[in-house]
Amino acid sequence: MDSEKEVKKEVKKEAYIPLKLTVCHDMRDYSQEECFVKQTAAAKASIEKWGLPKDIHLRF
Amino acid sequence: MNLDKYEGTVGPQFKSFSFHSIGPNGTIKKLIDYMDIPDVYLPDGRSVVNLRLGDWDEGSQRVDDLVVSNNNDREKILATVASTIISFTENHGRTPVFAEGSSPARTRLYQMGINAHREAIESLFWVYGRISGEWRLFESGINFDAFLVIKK
Repeated sequence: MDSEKEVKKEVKKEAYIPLKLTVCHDMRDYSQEECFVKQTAAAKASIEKWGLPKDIHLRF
Repeated sequence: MNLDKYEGTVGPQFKSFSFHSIGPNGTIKKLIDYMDIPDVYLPDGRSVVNLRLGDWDEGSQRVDDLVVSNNNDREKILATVASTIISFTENHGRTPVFAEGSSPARTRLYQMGINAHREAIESLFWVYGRISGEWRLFESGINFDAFLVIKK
């Protein structure tokens, strides 16, 4: 009756190994760097022009 | 996503990340910064965040987002950047992250990175690409001009 035995397949799911990060409490603030500000301005203009995915609400 | 990655540093708010690219052209400080895009919200009030990426230029003491470092570690850099999205969303909820390269070449780089590790990335994120003004779920073989990722 071996054929009736449930064959359990071992499903190996690779665990995500997170990024090794050190929290730096006095990290310099780069948020207002000129090129970062430009990138965000470009992103805002791009989204204002083209919008966001119409079905984005389905992802929440 | 268990690809070789650089170890990094993060600010206390988990919005700014840095790591060092190490290769034949030396050690280059890479910066990743997540910023809410002003006045851009989803209908539920959720903000949309912009992934900003650049190299720290020691000479000018500024961030440069156009320099090409050619440090032979593109895969490792992309894996590290992708991992910062995971770290960011773990600390800030399922905020949509918008990414558009500072140049067409850099946008193609994002595309290649997503494409190369598509299965692993899509197990963690919904990935949208934008082409000709239309958003669609990411597909290989299409040259998208912007991306939006949402943690599953």
